[in-house]
Amino acid sequence: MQRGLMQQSGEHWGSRIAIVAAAVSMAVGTGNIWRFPRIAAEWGGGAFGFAVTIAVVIWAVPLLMCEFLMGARSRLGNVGAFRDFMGRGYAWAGAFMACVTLAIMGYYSVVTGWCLRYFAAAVGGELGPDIDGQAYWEAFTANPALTAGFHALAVIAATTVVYRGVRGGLERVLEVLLAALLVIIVVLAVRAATLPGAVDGLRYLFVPDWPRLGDARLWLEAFTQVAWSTGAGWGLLMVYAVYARDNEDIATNSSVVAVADVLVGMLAAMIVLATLFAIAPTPQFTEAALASGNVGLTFIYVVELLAGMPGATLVTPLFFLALAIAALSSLIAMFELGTTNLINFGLARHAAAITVGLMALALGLPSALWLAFLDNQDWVWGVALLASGLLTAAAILKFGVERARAEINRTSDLQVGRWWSICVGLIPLVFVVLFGWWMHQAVTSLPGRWWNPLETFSVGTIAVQWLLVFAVVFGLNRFLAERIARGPMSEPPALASSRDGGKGGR
Amino acid sequence: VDAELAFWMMLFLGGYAAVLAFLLTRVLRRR
Repeated sequence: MQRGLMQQSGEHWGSRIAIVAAAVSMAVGTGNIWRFPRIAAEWGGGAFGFAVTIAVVIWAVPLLMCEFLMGARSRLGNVGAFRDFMGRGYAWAGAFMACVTLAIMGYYSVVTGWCLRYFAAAVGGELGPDIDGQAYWEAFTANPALTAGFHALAVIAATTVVYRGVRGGLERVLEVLLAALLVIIVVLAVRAATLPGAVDGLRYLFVPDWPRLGDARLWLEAFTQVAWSTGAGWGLLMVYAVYARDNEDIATNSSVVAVADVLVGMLAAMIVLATLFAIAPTPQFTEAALASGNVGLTFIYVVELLAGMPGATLVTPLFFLALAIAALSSLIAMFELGTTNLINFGLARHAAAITVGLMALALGLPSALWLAFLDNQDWVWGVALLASGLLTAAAILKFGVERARAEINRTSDLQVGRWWSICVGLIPLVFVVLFGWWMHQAVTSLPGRWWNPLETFSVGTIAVQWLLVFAVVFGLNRFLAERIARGPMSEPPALASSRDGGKGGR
Repeated sequence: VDAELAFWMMLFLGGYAAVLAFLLTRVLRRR
C-alpha cells in the first residue's frame, strides 16, 4: 500500500490532539445528553452500563477503527474510500452511507437550532421559575419563523467553520468547543450530584439491577445507543481520518472516541437523573419525564426542573450551552462529510462548503416546519445508520479482515489482537438482530398499518425511502466510481478499465 | 456514605476515566 500521499487538497490536522479532539466532539452529541440518561434510567442503571461496555467493544471500537483505516489509507471521503477498499463496483455503498448521514444532517441542524434557541432564551431569562415547559415548547415549535430562523443560524455556523478548512476552521473551533463542553458537563455533574436528595438518582443510575441483564431488550437498547451515539457507522470518522497525518495511530485514537463518548453520556446521565430525583415535585413527575422521549425530557421537563434549582440563572444557560455545543460540533462533522465528498468530485472547498450549506438549509426546512416530518426522518435514517455500519464491516471483510488488522497495527501504538477480527465478523450478525428487532417493534406498534409509507414510524416508510436512495446510488455507481478523485490506493485508470472489460463500473 | 453507590460509581466513572486517561497518555506521548 502506498504511503505518504496527503489528501488531494493537501489539508491535514495540525496535530494528533487536533484529530482526537475533533473526533470526540463529533461523537459527543445530543444523544449523549438527551438519550443516554433516559435509556439508562429505563434499563436498570448499572446493568445498562455493563451492556453498553460490551456493545462498545463489539460494535463501536471495531467500526471506528474500520472507518479510521478506510479514510486514512484511501485519503478519500466515503464514496472514494468504499471504491478503493471494495472495488469499483461498490462506490454506491459509500454514497449510501454519505446520503444517510446527509439526510440526518438536514434535521440535525433543526435540532441544533432548538438548542441554540433554548440557550438564548435561558440567557435572556425567559426560562424562569414560573415557566410552563409544555406551553413554552408548543409556542416555540408553532412559530415557523423561529424554528426556521434558528435552523438557518445553525447552518450558517456550521458552513462558516467548514468553509474555513481543516486547520483554519474545524481544528480551531472544535478544540475550543470540546474543552468548553467537557468543563460545563463536569461542573453541572458535580452540581447535580451534590443536590440534597441526588443520591436516589445516582443509585438509580449506577447500582445495577442485575436481573435486567437477562432481558434481551436491555441488550438491544444498549447496542442501539452505542451505534447511534459513538458515531460508529456514520462515516464521519472516516472523513476526519482523510486529513490525518501520515502514520496516525488508528487503534488508540479510535478507542478514545468510544470511551470518551460513553463517559460523557454517564456524566450527562448524572446531571439529568440526580437533578430529576432531587428537584422533581412528585414521583409521577419523574415517571412522566422519563417516559416523555428525548425532546420532551430535555425541552419540557428539564427546563422546568432547572428553573426550580438553586443557581438556576447560571445552571440553565450552561445546560443548554452544553447541549448546543454538543449538537453543533456533531453537525460540523456532518457538513465536513458532505464537503469532503464534493471536494473528491473536483469542487474547491469553498464551493463545496457552500453547496452543502444550501443543501442542509433545503433538506432541513420541512423538519423545521413540521415536527412529524422530523420524527419520520429521524426514524428512517436513524435505523439506516445500522446499515451504514454493516456496509463498513462488509468493506473490511471484502478487503480482508486480517489484512486490515495488520494495516491498523502497522501504525498503531496499541496492537489490536484477533478479537478485533472476530468482532468485525460479528457485526453483520449484530445488524440482523438489531434491525430485525426494530422492524418487529414497528410492525407490532402499527398493526395493519406497518406497511404504509405515509405512517411516520412504519416499516413501509423505511422501505420506500431506503429503496429510493439505494436505486439512485446503485444506478449512479459507474459515474461515481469514475468521477471521484484518485487516492494512494486507487487503481490506475487503465487497469481499472481493463478489469471492468472496458465498461467502467457497474 | 452509601458504600454500595460509591463502589458502582467508582467502577463505572472511575473505570471509564482510567481507560480514557491511559489512552490519552498514549496520545500525548506521541503527538
